[in-house]
Amino acid sequence: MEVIQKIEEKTRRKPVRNKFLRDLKKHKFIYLLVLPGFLHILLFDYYPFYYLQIAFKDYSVFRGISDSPWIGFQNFVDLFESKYFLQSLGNTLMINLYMLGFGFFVPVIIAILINEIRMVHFVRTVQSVLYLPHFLSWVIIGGIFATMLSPSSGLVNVILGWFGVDPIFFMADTRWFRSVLVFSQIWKEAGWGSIIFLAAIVGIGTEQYESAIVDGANRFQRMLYITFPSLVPTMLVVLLLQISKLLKLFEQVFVMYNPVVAEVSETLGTYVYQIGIMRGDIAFATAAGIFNSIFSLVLVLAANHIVKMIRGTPII
Amino acid sequence: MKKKRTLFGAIIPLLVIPIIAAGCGSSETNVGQSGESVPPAAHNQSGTGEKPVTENEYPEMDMRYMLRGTDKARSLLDLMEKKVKERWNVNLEIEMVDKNIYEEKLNVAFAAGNQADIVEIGNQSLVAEAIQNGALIPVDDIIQREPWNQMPESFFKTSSVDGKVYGLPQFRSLPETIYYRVDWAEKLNLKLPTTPDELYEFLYAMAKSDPDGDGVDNTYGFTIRPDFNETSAYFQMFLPVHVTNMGLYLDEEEGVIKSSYYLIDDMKAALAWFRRAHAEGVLDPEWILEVQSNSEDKFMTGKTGAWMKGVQWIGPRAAKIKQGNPDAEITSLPIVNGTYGANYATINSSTANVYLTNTSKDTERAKLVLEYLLSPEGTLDMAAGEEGVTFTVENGEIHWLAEGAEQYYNSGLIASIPIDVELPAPDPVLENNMERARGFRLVEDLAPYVSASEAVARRGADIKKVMEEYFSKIIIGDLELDQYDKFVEEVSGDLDAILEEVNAIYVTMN
Amino acid sequence: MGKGNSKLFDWINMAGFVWLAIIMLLPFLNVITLSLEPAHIAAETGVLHLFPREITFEAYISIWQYGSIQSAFMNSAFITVTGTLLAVLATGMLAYGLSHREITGMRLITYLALLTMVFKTGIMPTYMLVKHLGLIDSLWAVIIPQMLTAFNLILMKVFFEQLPKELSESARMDGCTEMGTFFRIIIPISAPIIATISLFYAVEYWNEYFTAVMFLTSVDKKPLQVLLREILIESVNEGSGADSLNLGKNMKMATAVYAIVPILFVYPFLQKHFTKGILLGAVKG
Repeated sequence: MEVIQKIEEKTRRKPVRNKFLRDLKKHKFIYLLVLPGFLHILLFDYYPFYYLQIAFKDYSVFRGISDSPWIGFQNFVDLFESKYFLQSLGNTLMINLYMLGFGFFVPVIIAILINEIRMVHFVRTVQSVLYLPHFLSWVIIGGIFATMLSPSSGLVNVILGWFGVDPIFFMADTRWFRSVLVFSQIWKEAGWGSIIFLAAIVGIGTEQYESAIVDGANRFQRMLYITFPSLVPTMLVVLLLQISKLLKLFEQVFVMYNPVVAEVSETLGTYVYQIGIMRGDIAFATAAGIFNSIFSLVLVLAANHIVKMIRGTPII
Repeated sequence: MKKKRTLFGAIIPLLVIPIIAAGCGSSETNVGQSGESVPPAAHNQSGTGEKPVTENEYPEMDMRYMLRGTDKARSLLDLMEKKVKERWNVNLEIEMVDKNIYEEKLNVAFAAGNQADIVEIGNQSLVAEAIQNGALIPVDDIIQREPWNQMPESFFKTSSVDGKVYGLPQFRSLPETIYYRVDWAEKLNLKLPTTPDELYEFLYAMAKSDPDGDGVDNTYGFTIRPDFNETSAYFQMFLPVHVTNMGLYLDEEEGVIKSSYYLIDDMKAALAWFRRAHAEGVLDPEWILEVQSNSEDKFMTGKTGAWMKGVQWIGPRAAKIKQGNPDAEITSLPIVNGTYGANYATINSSTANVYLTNTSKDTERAKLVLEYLLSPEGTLDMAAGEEGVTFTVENGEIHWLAEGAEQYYNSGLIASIPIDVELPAPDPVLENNMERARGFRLVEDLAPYVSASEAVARRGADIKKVMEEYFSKIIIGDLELDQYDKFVEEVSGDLDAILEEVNAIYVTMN
Repeated sequence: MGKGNSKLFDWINMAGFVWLAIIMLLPFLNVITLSLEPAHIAAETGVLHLFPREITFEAYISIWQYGSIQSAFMNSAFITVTGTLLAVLATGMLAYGLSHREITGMRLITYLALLTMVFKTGIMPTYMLVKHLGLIDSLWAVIIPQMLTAFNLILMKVFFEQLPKELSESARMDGCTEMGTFFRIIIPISAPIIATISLFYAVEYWNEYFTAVMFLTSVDKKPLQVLLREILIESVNEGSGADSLNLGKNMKMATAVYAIVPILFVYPFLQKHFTKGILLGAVKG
């Protein structure tokens, strides 16, 4: 049996190898182009996989990896058994869902609309201004939001007061806090996020627009039927990236939340951070990292698969 | 498409050669090199090749000292490095690392065998683990010498394992105190408080009687942080210890470690005190958003009448508050006596958390350097330097010779040295402040037992989180005071497990 | 839709962007105002500082006088320029190769790269690697590990895939080798994506903080972000005798300005590659 299997495998593999050799000869240059990057990935992204084993060990930096005893899945069990694991995972997913739902198309719309403006200097100025918030750290943005949303003196509550609305303590109200997170996230990143779409718009061939004009399409129709569809591949890549980063939501929440709104905003990142401080333990942090990675991987693959079912081609 | 694109101005130098070589139809030679993206590593050793300043019998050697902090006062560190060089021919490199990343860097450095000769390790469990694995070297021979042999034995207790001493004391234990606006209190004719109720009245007046005299109700008595750091003097009016760190304290009569979370009536009294302060506007209504810098800013700009800080750190604040308001004067409130005695209390621990690793090529010399760094002399050098070298004193005032040193001088650091050291210049503000705290309580340091507990490592973070959430919500009024019972119910399982384990450790270690 | 309608749309659109720009400018204005105010005014809470009540440059001056800020600028510039060039080169080459899905192995490498987007292994393995390579305390330790970001790689790959196939085919007809096609045809028309990715890498390198703290030890190797963060971090000596010397808000904001402004200057140079399309559109009306 085994022999037969081996022979079968050999015959099956052979064409692949032949094709590879043929490609290697024909596309020498392409392989040369790929080589440095490929080696970089192997060295800096795959070699470290060796160290992931510490997640399954009672690892001590003083003993080293080989002298640390195996403890199986204990670190993972600890993670899953921690009291607020599910709550924080749920919060992370919900907040991200809101951010994607309300925020995902904002940069796309900004890019399309900016593209419609014909005054070059105006465009350049607006563009430069829109990406400024990206460069401010969350600590600064968080401070500004706390000031603007202050119930006693904040601009927002002053304006609400004109309409007879009682002051709302947005930053300490479980009904409002997620909205604050979503809004501040959009505020900070929408302008910056539009850059990639602007670059993609530049790449759209002018012939498409020309023939559309000939066909009598007006501006809205051109935006809707040419510009927007051309951005779909880029949008999908950006979407994939954002999905892959879902569980990394940390800094923004960390600097903006407080114990009163923790039940709606404690994310996996902030929760694991707190446990990590108490434990001071690399192995546990590594286990949490592995969980994050696998969970994100599943989400990304699922997204890729769903896109494949709808469009016929996957994102990647 | 043939237009020149200036974007490539920068990239061209890298690509231009292959482009010339790679015209259409040309042969494919030597492309590999152009495609190589990883440049040869340029490893530069930092320039530590100074010539020995004096001749001594020691051969030259390098040594590294890594600790948390920033090397703002570089001129002082330079002085220390120079002294070490002259005395032991050691090229000492003092590396200060961002405290937020410090532990991570320390861990990976140990893992990679790249640790410094002398390191600060703040995490007590890591210290214990390091000692177990022989990564740290005991310093028993140092403490036989001056000035260490003059210090009380308790200074070495927390850093001893199996009868060997690993850490040296660098700072004495000083409590956090409540600073207040002296000028406001005088203006309002306030009597200094001695009980929790009087303190409340005092702060109430600061909030409601327009102490800044601008005719607008825009001041508060005080503000606190939602993680309850730097609030100990308020809680300790009602409790034996502060509520952070699971409220663990040693009941000296019974010799048992307990949690103040179970002192339900006292806890409720404390929370009721804060709750009332929040409801009546004595406590800043936005305290829940407080981060430390804001609470200091609020005190400095006259929004609040009181603020908490370590008793020895008053110097820079007293100077700073005068920048905005020359009339402003601050000092600490005297002790308020509560249910468990003085409200000013601190943990009895003096270790510097600085240790000698087993990597040093010359342990004896490393010990000498360590001893110097943590000695009163070394601490003084780090705080101020040496008279005639970094500063001079004229008419009781310090004049700095090194540029910018005055920004970082803090007499409190010298006041913390565990044996009495004379300040370079008299500092009445500091001395007066220290006098106010006289009679503070010293509580037993439980770190050796707590850090050895598995249960604390596993459950401690959850307890802290639940505590902050319940306490904040009770104070802010989202929860009733009686909900405290629910809090106890929620944490008691984990807390009991922790108490059992910590007590077992306490028994075996004593 | 008539011409008038189109004009109206233009006006509404522009007005909308003016509004948006004002909202986005608010935090920046706040930062600049705070950095120009004297410490005791900047410290006032509960007000949005949008126009300085008193102007002083003391915060900027005192940061500029801080020890090694000049060398920190040079280190950051080196990391950013060298890093961006190498990173764009490495990413572009790999992305172009991977855009040839039909060539054996390319799909596999794509999936391997995609996996790295989600699978991050933490700092310890990288530290070990950097140590083995002898790069501890070398600026290259900040540059090399970050030279390839999966996201940027995939963005470039998608861009290359969208290029019309006829371009490279006709080039080959003209007798171009694959190499010739890449350098003579592909790179010139990829200006928008190269500009974008350069910007992304440049900003990443400029802002790199964590690895710089981890891998660099000596004072003269510190990049700007590390130095500025040091000025911000409260204390001189964090030991058990810690004091948090709280620097004024004006200092904090001034360091933020120092950290941001240099990298902002990169954008205008790259910007024309995003707006060129608008110019073309404008010509065609």
